[in-house]
Amino acid sequence: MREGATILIAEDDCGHAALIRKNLERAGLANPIIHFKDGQEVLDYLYRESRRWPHDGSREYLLILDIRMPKRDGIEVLKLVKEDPELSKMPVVVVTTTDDPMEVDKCHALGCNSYITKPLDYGKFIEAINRLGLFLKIIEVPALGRAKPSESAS
Amino acid sequence: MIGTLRSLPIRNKIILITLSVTFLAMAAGSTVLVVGAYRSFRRDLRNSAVVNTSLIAEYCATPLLFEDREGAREVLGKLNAIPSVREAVLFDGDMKVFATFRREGLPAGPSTAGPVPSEAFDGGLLRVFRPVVYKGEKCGSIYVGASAAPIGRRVRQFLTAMAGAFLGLMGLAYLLARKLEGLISRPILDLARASAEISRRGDYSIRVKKWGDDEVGLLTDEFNAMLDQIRKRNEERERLNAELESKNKELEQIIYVASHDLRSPLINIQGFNKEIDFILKSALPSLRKHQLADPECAGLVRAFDTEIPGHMEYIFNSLRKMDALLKGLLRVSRLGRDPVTFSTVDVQSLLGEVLGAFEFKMKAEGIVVEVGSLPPCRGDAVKMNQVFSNLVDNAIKYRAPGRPLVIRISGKAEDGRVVYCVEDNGIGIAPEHHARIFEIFNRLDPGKTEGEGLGLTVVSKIVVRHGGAVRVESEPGRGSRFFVAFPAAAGRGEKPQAGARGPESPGAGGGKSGEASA
Repeated sequence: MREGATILIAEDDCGHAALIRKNLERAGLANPIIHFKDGQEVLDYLYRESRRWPHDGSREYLLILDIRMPKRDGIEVLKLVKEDPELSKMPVVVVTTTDDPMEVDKCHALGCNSYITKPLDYGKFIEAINRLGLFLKIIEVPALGRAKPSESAS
Repeated sequence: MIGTLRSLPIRNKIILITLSVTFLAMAAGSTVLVVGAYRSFRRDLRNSAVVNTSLIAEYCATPLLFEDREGAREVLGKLNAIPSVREAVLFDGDMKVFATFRREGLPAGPSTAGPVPSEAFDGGLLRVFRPVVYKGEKCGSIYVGASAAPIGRRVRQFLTAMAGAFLGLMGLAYLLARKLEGLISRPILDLARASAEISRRGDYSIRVKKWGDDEVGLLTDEFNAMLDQIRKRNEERERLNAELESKNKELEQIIYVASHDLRSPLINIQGFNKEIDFILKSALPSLRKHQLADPECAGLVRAFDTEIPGHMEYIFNSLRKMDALLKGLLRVSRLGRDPVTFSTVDVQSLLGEVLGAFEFKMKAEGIVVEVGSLPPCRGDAVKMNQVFSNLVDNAIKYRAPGRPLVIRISGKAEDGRVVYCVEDNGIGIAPEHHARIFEIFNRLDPGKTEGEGLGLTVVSKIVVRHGGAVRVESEPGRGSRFFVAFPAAAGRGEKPQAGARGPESPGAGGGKSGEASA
């Protein structure tokens, strides 16, 4: 039985993280959410966890990644994740404050699965995650109504 | 000839001039010497012939007097000892041949006596006539023919010697010139080498060695002083450039970081504002229910229902405005960082694309656009599209309410660049605002029109990054003319390119074409 994917949020701004968590929960996601305050923290977690993964795909993760972070920025994290044969299977959604085309191109070149600009339009955000999730079967969407993502994603 | 001489190296020039002068001087000198020598040889020959003839004449007096022909021949025979004498004839008092002498193989001399005394060169012979005198009485005359060949021989010997000396001296002159041309050429060559080196390496710290206090020395001093000035100016310019560049980088960085990092707290304000709004809205129904039971809740309901949302609307509006400003800053800073990719741009079809985007609005508003013949230029098609879009957008935004808007777009190639003009008959701009309209976030009438105040800033930035210029002419109430200059398209080789669409530009062949009027 699947317990649903774990959502990892790497975000140095606690406010942004709280807003994302709140809106995801309000949208009906019951998945566990873990918040990391910088790039190093999330990398440490991923390297530690990936060693314990049974590699059968029963534990799945989604990484929501900010770019401007202390210690290691999102670009570095994205690069390292996508270089790792195991971690690279994890979908990464880059969520950041700028729509600078050079930055967007860079992230796509490094292999991010989605790029979203803050402030988040949570309807679209959930839809994007859902689209990744439907494909990877990581998100269980409880029918809590209000912010239910549109059916067009299926 | 003179042209070839002019491009000879200076050393060769000096040597050539020295040798030419030496040659001329020596040639003139040699000619004088040779002529002089020739004359002196002739004189010598004549003198000796005359002396010999006079001597023989004296010896011949006795045989003549005694009519001793045998004796006379003997006397004449003594002439055999003088190699130059070819022949001799002794005439008696009646001018008849008395005795003759001749060298073997030669014809006899004249059979009649010449006037005496006389001597003359005749062909290869010097003919000398002298009287034969005895005790003051002329008793006959004598003729002696001496060969002039020794003159030629001696002249030839002299010439040979002279030629040897000539060549020797020329050689000497050449060696001397080779040795001494450096005096003149070395300082000049040094100067030439130094200036070549400087322009090749761009190194203005090189100094030229001064060889003396002559004019070239003076030139060297001036040259070095000039280099000093250039070096100082270069250093100053480099310093200013570096300063400018670092200031510019700093500014770009500030703008980038500001717009990036300033948006972060903004997102929190916006996000949590929404949360509060959400909480208020969710609390409102139960509060309303309470209001029925407890009339004191009415104030709270009013606050939740109208006052707080009203205040929050102001906050949202400010946030939106701030967000727009930050996004604008980011856009402008990006314009400074993005590379400009130059190609030949077919501005005619580019304008077709630009106007295509406004087609709906133009039809709806009854706007007339007249596009003239637009020459191609060199530029970044995407960025140029932005320039014309912004200018057309401005023309539409600031149209005069009383009259239908007419936009005229024209272009003219002039020395190395193409100046395009977007002209409108809108509200116009007062002269005191002409300079400020290109400033960032500057808007003349923020209340009336929408926008961030970036359009013309973007236009100016793009044009300047193309190495072009932007200019405005306007009269309030009559309209504005915006001129943007771009580098002219290079020769024919390149194929013009404009965005994605083909040559369906309006008025491609020149002239005017109306666009969208209703």
